[in-house]
Amino acid sequence: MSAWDWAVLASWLSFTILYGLYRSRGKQTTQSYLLAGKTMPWYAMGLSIMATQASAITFISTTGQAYVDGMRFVQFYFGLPLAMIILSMTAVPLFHRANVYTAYEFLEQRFDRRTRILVSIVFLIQRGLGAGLALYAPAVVLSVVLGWPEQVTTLFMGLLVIAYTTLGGVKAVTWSDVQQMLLIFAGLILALVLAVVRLPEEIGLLDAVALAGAAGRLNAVVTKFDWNDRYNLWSGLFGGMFLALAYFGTDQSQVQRYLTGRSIAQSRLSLLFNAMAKIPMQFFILFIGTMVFVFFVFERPPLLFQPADLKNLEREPAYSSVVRRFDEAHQVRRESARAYLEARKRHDPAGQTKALRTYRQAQASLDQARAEAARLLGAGPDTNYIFLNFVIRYMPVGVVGLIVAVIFAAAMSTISGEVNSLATVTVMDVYRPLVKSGATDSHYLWASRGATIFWGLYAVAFAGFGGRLGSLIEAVNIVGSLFYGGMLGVFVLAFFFRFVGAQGAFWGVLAGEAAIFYCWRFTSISFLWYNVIGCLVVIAVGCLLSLTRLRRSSAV
Amino acid sequence: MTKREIRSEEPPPLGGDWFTLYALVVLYLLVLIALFAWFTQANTPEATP
Repeated sequence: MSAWDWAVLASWLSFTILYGLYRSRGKQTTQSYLLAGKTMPWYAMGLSIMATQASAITFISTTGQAYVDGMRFVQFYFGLPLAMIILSMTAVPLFHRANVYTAYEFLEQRFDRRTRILVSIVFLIQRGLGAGLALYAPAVVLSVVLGWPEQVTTLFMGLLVIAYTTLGGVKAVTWSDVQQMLLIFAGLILALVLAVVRLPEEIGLLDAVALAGAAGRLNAVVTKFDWNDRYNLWSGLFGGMFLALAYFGTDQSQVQRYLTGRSIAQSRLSLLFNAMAKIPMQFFILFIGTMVFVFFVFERPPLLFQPADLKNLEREPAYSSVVRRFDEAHQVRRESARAYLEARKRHDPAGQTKALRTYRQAQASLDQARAEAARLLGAGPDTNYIFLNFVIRYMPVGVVGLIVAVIFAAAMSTISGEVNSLATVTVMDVYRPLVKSGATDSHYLWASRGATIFWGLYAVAFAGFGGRLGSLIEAVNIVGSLFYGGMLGVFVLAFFFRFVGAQGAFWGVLAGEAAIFYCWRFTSISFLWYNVIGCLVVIAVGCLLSLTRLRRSSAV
Repeated sequence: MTKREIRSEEPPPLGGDWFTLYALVVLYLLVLIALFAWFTQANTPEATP
C-alpha cells in the first residue's frame, strides 16, 4: 500500500473509534453500558444490525463466492424479510415488555433458570466461535497487504476492538456501526464503479453482464428443489427464514441491538429497515464479484489467488504443465468472449452458440487447471483472496486504503457487537445468577468490562483456526446452523406453546441439538436445513414431554 | 395500562398500521424475487440454438 492508502486507513480507524467513544461519553451504569439506556433511534439500530451482520467476510468471501459460483448465494437471504416480520410481531414486544438485558433472561421468566443457563451456554459456544472467524477475515487482508503473519494482524485488530468496546459499551458499538455502515455503502458503490471502469475500453456494462451470464455467474434464482443443494429458492425461503429467525430472534449479538431501542415501534422499524435493505445489498456485493470475474476474462488472473500458495506451487515439478494449460484456456476464453459479444451485436444466433460453447469449455478447463493446482499443494479454496487480489493489484492509490478501511470497518462492527453481547450474556446470564447475585451496579459494570476483555482475547485465540475452514462465509453460517435450530426451537416454545413447561423446553433443546449434530455428521443434508430440523425436533420433544406430564398429573 | 405498553401501540412513523407495513414488506420481497428470476433467465443463454 502507498503512503496515501495508509493515511486513508489510519484516519478512518482513528475517526471511527474516537467518534464511538465521543457518543458514549458521560457517566455509565450497567444499563447504559449494556443497553445504551434504551435511547436508540431506529435508524441507528437498523444500521448497527446491518453492520454487525455484514462482517469483513461479507466483502472478502461473498465477492469470491460470486466469482467461482455465481450469484445464487443471494437466495440465502430471501427468508430474512419474512423472519423480520415474524420477529416484529412476536419477539420485539415480548422482550421489550419483559424489560430484559438478554433474550435468555426471558427464558427464565417463561421456563426456569436451568433452561436460561443451558441456552446461554449454547450461545456463548456458538458466538465465541463466530467472533474468532470474524476476526480472522481482516487478518487475511493485512497478511496479503503487508506480508505480516496472520497472528500479528489478528492481535492488532483484536486489541483495537477490545479498546473501544470495553471503554464505550453498546453505545460506542452502535454509533461506530452507523459510521462504519455508511462507509461500507460508499465503498461498495466505488468498488463496483471501478470494477466496471477497469474493463477494456470496448466492453461496456451490458457486455460485462452478458459475459457473466454466459459463464453462469448470474444465476440469482434457482427454482429446482434439492435437499443437498445449498442455495436454491426453497432452501433460501424456508431454511433462510429459520436461520434469520434464529439469528435475529435468539442471538444476543442481534437482540441486544434492538433492545437498545427507545420504544417497541423504533425496534420494529429497525428490523423492517434491515428486511428491505439486506437483499439488495447482498445482490450488489455479489454483482461486484461477477464484474471482477469479467475483468479477469480479459486480464490474466493468477493461477491461485492465495499468494503464498502460488509461490509454493511454482516449486512443484508439475507447475509448468498446469500453468501452460491454464494460460491456453485463458486465451481461448478471452477470444471466445470477444467472439460471443461480436456475434450478439451482429444478431448471429449460430455464431453466438458456437462462441458460447467454446467460452464455457474454456471456463471448465480453467476451473480444472485451478483445481489441479490446489490439489498439487493440498491447498483449500482461495475464494477469500480473489477480491483482495483485484483491489490491491488494480485499484488506484488511495482507493486501496479506502477499500481496506471498508473491510476493517465491517470486521470491527461485527466483532465489537459480538464481544459486547458475549460479555452481556456472561455477566447477566451466568455470572449474576450463578456466581455473585445482589452485588452493586458498579460491580456488574466492571464485570461487564472484564468479560469484554476476556471475550476479545478469546476471539483472538480462536481466529488462529480460521484459515483451515475454507470459504469463511460458509464456515460462519455452518457453525451458526449447528446451534441456531435448538435455540430457535426453545424460543418458539416460549412464544407460542403456553402448555409447554421447563422440563419439556430443557430436554427439547438437548434433543434438537443431538438431531442437528446427527445430520451434520451422518447425512449430506445441506446446512440451511439444520435450523428447520433442529427447531422442529425441539418443538416436538418439548410438546410431547409436556403433554405426557400434563396427562400424568391430570390422571393423579 | 403502563406508559411502556401505550408506547408499544405507537403506529409506524410514516402513518398507516403495522399490518399494512408488513404486507408491503412481503410484496417487496415477491417483487425482488420476480426481478431476480427475470434477471437470471434473461442473462443465462442456452448453448443450443
